[in-house]
Amino acid sequence: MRLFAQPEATPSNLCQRLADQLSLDTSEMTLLGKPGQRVVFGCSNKIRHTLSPEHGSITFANKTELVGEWICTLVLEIDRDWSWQSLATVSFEIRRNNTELVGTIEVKDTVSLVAAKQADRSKTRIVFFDLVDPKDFTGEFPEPMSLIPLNQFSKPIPPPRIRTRR
Amino acid sequence: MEVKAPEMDTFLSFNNRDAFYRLFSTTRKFPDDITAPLDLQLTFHDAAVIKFGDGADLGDLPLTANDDASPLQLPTGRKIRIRVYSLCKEDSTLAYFGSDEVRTGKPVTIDVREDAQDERNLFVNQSPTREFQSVLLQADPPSLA
Amino acid sequence: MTLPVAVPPAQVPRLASAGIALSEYTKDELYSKVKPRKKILWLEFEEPVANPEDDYFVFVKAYAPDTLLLAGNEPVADPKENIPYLPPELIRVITVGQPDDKAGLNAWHKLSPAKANPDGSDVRHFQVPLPPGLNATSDELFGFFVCEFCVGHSRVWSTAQARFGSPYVSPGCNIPRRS
Repeated sequence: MRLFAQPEATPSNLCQRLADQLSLDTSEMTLLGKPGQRVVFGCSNKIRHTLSPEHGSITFANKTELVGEWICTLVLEIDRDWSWQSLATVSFEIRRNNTELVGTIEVKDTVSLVAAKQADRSKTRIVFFDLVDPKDFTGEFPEPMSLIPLNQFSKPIPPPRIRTRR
Repeated sequence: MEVKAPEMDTFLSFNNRDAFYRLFSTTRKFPDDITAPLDLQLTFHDAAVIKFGDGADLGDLPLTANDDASPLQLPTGRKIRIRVYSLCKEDSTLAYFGSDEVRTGKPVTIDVREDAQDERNLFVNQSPTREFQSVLLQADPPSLA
Repeated sequence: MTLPVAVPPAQVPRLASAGIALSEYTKDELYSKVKPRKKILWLEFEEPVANPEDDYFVFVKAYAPDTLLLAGNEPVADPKENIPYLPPELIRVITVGQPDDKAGLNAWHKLSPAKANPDGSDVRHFQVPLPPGLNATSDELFGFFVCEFCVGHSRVWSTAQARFGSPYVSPGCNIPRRS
């Protein structure tokens, strides 16, 4: 397949470009972690999407929604191995300006088989997507937009103790 | 000693079927008085990252000494399964026991868990440029057949 | 983190008139000779640039010589059309602390505005620069140019693809030799 008027070799598929930027794998409109990596996805409701049961992959509804919009991505790595289980069902809340709830991340107690084979179990990656419309400017004319990085999040809430014996 | 793994991850369990990671094995002698209980001491540690698959290196979790007086070194923030087997004396020539399998008794399972004391430093330190990015994508270019 | 503008200007230029401006008429004391007067092409647009951060831009799309000045009767090949090079920006990534990289700003040429009006009204007259690669005495200036004019983000951080708005095409522009 030849690419029209492309001076350099660039993946033509929109999802492929996004996946390469974030070091993820892609299949059609689905982003997922590379083999051996545990990735947990979250997304604001501004982007129509579907998450897999273990939230290890995200499928976007269509490409046109992603074209020409700022896709703000928050990528964090939990510095704990996979056996660590101190997160509640709603593990993290992503908030804007410490007030507006943008979305949540749920680290499920399961992984995909792709992640489990020859896995790096020392960390878990969290990827969160939000959308900012470049036409959403307040003045009469387009202007640069200032964003506060989406790193205001709630601390994980430990689940109740099950049983402890000494 | 095993820690609970995420479901579907059975590759590091003792039997390759359970969603558990094997941590380590150790032995403790019963008291000479056969009616007295075995007092199993546990010590919990905050361990950020545990390494699995190598009994000589458990990452941030201290190793458990294989002597009767040492407590079991266990990590916090995890569901732990302790499987206790009774083990009979060594009989390499099978002079007493009919086979090596009968030396091991039925296991008793004990589930324990302890919350961590300090869960700060939860995330790997990365530069802000890696943590937060905004991406603008153009439509796929038309391709020539 | 600051995101550059990703929306092109909505304003489309509309030409009102054009002309040739001459430099000052300078003679010597005895009126025995006058200095050659420099010529520039000026344009008047119907409206000033609406956004204070934008300017009018020009791009020379094509060139063809004046056929009356050519020797021989052979037909002239159709002129080749140029396309302003803007990086395709199939993916554009902005990170924290990233500065303005002026992406795409050099793809078109800015028109120079006339002096401010005495009454304070916005400027509508602009000088057209010489096409790239030509000087004031180039013979190509005897020919005709197809020029595109547009409004572009000039003093604000913008992506290359959103830098310039919809163009207005003016065929048959003659840019005067300057001396």
